[in-house]
Amino acid sequence: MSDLLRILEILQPFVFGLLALIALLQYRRHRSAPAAWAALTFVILGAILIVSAVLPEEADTPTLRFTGKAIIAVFALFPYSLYRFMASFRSPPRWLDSLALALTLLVMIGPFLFERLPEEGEPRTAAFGVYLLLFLGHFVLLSLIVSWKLWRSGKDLPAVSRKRMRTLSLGSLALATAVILAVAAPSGESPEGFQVTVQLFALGSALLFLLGFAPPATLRSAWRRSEGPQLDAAEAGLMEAQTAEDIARVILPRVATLAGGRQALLLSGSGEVLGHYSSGERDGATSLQEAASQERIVRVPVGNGELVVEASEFAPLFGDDEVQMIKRVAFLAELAVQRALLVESQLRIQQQLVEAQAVARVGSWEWDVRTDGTVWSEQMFHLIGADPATTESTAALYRSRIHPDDLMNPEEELTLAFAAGGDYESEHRLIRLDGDIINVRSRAKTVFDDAGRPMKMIGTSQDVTEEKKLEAFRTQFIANAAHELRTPLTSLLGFIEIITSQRDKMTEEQVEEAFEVMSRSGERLSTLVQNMLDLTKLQQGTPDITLGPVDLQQVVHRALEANPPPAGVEVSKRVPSVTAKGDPNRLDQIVTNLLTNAYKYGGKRVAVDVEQSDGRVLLSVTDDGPGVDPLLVPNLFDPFTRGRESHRIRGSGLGLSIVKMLIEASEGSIRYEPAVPQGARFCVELRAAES
Amino acid sequence: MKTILVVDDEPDIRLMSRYMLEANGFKVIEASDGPSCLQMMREVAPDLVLLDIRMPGPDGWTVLREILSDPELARIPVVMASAHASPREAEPDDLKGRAGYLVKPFRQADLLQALEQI
Repeated sequence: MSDLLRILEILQPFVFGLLALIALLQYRRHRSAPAAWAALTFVILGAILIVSAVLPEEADTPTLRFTGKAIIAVFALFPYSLYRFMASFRSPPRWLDSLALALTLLVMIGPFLFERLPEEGEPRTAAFGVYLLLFLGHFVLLSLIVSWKLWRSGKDLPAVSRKRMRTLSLGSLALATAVILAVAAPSGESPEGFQVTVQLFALGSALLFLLGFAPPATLRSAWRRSEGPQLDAAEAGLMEAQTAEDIARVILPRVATLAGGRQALLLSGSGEVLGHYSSGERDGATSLQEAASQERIVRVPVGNGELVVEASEFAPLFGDDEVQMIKRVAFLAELAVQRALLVESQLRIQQQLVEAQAVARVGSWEWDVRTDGTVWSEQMFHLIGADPATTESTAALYRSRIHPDDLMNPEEELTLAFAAGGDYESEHRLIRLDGDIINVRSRAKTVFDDAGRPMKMIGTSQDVTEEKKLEAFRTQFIANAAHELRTPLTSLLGFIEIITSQRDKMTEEQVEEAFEVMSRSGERLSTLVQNMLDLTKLQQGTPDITLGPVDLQQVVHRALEANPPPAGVEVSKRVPSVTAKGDPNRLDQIVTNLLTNAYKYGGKRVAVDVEQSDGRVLLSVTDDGPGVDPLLVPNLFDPFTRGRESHRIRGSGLGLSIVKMLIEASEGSIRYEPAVPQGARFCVELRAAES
Repeated sequence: MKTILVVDDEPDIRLMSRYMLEANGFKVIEASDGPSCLQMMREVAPDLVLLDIRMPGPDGWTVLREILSDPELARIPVVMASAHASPREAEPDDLKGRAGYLVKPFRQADLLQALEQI
């Protein structure tokens, strides 16, 4: 026997013993069914080889004979155990399980049926030949199944797992080849070259198993290299991610692929699912439950949330490297999540500012005194009616939109402002790009450099058009009110003086006339004050209005009953029972006002019509008088607008203003139109009551 | 007997002014708006016009402007009656100092004093 063969024979038990040790260590680490079967498989193999190596070569005692049979029986367990290892990942069909078990039992019982086993080189009996064939068939069949399955299963797995499994697959094939060669060896002393080949195959298989189970770090990193671009792409994607959802979209598919898994989830701190990726068509929840029971869920913390990956069945045993890579991605994802949160809160604050400025109609700006450069908030562009996306903010643009009458010498103004500590305030009109004119109030502060020279102004510009309108309205209202109050007050006080000082010179009729004027003036004052209070209340938006369904037929009926037409006036009505949305008392007030206006200003015929169309209810009061002076129509509903002949007619000049506000508070509208051929028509549009 | 033209859209005010003026020996004629005021001035040539500022149609200022633009009428003194607390502030620039003023509400003494201004 050559030295090479001897060395190989001595090496064999050591290498397989080492393999058994590693398999046991793996089991200690993983404590899973596959790890247990792997440990059993290689402990069997190692034990057989070690025991065979120490057994005396040629001794024919009954104990040794039994030991020889037992070794063969136990050896038959090896492919079965390997098969079980494989089956613990994915269950094969039941018939295959049964066949494997039956064959194994048969092969294990086999040796004990022979009285003694032929020695090496001894001629074999026919029965023993049949047993050997059975032994070989069993070994080769199971080994092939395992190799095939390991090879196939690696197909969809990440590189390291795939290569480890395929190495194991090759190891299994090599061992099967060694066994075939050993058993099929011709009877008698086989040539040394043949024996060396068998030994080399066996040793090769041991090395392959070793590499598959515990690949050295250099090999791992070499295998892992192919995953690099994947990882790089994930990292690049993370850099671009803006939101947690983006992050989930970028990393989940890649992470799932890395783990050879079906799905991956990104959960927020509160357990909310930020993103979900699933490659299969199976129900995600069922799949996750199953995965959890097989302990192949990988959970990695990301921020205060979690990255959850359903890994492949093989991941617990083969996926250490992939789990490491997932952790690295998760770490990067955590950074990206933090950045996204920051960006998101920034954007939210910015959005809030934009919205707040839009609501308050305030734009903010910065103006660099030295370069004349400006920065505007979005609302500044809206103030002048420009599109922020396409317009460049310049001080010149703003100045060009200031109403010429309001344009003061900017240099003079600024010099004054700087001298006064930098506070600046101005009110001016702006001509918007659409031609509308708005009132703007600008306020600004100046930032000075260390030498006290102005650097920039920071300020706001507010649209105060509504405020100005209201102010103008209020001023006008007060002036009008004063005038209206003074007129009856003048005649009241005047006649009191006349009666006091000239009573004895006056005739009875004159005195009566004086008292009539005084009483009329007093009443007028009282009506005025009452209406002004009403109007103020309405303008403040606190009218006593309760909206509900109101039958207009009843409203018109009540108003006509309380205000019958004066002699000579005839009221025609076309009023079906129609239910509008409104306040019954206020509708009474509205109809009464329109009706009495028609009596006062109209002619001999007044018509009241009600109709319903498209969810709206229309009520109109039409007279055949002279109609409203066209000059008055634009201001008809303003306070204190009164007809030309109004001195004949008692009224406050506030009635229509009040009516209009009441109708608007009832979500309706009122308009005036001249009647045909002549007369005035007031049309009230209300919402139909919801049925 | 001096004739005074009272122009006001409020009949009660005209009536009151008539009582006060007649009791003091004036003759009173009335107009309810600008156009009839001008017409009466031309027809009757009163000695003084008491003109309300705030009236429907042409207001007192417009009427005053027309009076002043007609040499015949411009000779007749005008007292503007106004509900404004300080009518001189509301006076248009071109009419400054061209008329007397009477603030509503007024007492008999105020009315007589305003007439004496002229």
